[in-house]
Amino acid sequence: MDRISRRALLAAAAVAGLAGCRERSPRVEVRDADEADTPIDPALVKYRSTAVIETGMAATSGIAVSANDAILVAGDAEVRSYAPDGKRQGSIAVAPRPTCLAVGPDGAVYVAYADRVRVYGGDGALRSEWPSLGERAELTGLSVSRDDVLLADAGGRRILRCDHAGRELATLCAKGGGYPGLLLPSAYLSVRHFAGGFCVNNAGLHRIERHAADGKLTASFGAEGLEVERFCGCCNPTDFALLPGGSVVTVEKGLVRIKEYRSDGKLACVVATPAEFVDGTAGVALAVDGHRRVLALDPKKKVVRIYERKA
Amino acid sequence: MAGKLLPMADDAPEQPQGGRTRRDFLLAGVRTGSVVAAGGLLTILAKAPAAAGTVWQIDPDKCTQCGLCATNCVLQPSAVKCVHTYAMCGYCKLCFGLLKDKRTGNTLSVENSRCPTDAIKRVFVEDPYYEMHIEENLCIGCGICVKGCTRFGNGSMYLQIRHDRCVNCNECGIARACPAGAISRVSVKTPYKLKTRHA
Repeated sequence: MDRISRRALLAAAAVAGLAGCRERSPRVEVRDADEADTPIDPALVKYRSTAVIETGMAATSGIAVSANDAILVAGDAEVRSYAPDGKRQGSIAVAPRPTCLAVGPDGAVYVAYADRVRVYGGDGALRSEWPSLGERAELTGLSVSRDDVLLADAGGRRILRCDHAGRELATLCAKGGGYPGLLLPSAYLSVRHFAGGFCVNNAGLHRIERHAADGKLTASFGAEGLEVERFCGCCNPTDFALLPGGSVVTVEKGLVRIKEYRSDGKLACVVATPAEFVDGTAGVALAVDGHRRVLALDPKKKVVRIYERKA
Repeated sequence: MAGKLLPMADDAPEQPQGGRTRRDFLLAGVRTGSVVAAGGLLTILAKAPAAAGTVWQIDPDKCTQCGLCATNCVLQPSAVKCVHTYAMCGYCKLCFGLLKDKRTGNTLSVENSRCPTDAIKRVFVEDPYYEMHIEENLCIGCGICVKGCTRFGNGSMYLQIRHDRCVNCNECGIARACPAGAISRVSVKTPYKLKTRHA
């Protein structure tokens, strides 16, 4: 009887122990019910995809349009040129791992790397290489005008104004004077010349900002949220381009939405919906050409998607 | 004698005089059967494919945050935990590993929290930056936070098998269940696959 009691006691203890373990750590049904994307009214989509250019590159990083509407794509260790109809025209060899590019008024191609800029002539010859901006620099945007070159340094959270030889003229968008600075949870910062000043995407604040030439903030629009007129996630939009007249085309990550906003910041329409991109797409680069076409460089599929306004 | 191998046998009371009872006979049979079974298991283990010097680990670049790590590990809670590479984090107050896509305001309420066990703590660093701490004792490895962080943030949160918990099964339950084939054996010299770049 003693032996049975002892055995029974041990068995009971073991069962109780197991039961206790299970009670302390119950299996949790894992279900993320928070996946409902905000549907986009089809009536808002006023662009249609008219062409896709397959680059065949291993990695793509930047897109720009020249004065004659040639489409330039940076990736791998080259800049490729495509005709407006998507036909490949040529390429120039550049140093590996470019991050973005822009075309100057004289046709020179400015190619940015993490910490420096290299300028190539239209013939592909290296014209100049600017000095390094330091280890912290992370150039993700570039805009060239007749007067100057603007560099978007996401690493330094600043916009640099340089002359065409690469000499730094001013540091812009620094925090201070009531301006919160550039909040960049991830390295997505673009800059575009606009009306004597420039525009930037302050992604951490979910807004597009307009600044005077001296860097003073003059206007902004944008708010955080899943709704189609807002910018989703922690840091969006990731890139933008300017249409003639001041309308702004933006792209987001997370929910990859390309949208057009009027110059007053009101949503004008949707260019492309998330359904057109595969999961995990982030860092779509934008450009617009002289025919108001929106060009989106999809880094996941390595293609250029061309969107035109519906008739 | 097989029965002496059982832990209880050494300190068992002495046998009553007068021969073996029916209960003794049955117990001896059970003990023998247990030892044979244990021996068979040892033989199987000895013949298992060589896995010496390796442990299981998740490739965060392949992980799809399906949630099966939370439910298919032999351990409960799972040996899979969310880990956080702070060097990649954006230190957002509006963290999508922490907060639901759809929420009421940006406050840390139960309704707004993405984590089912409240394992993520938001700690103020300096305006406007916040640091997310993972409380491993609460984390069940469901990957819901990872999905939010990967989708909207920098992907600084991801799942790893913690080797202070993992019992290194020959056949890993979550590796067998993983739909993305993201779990494989790696050298014990490099037991973790840590992210070092932006998503």
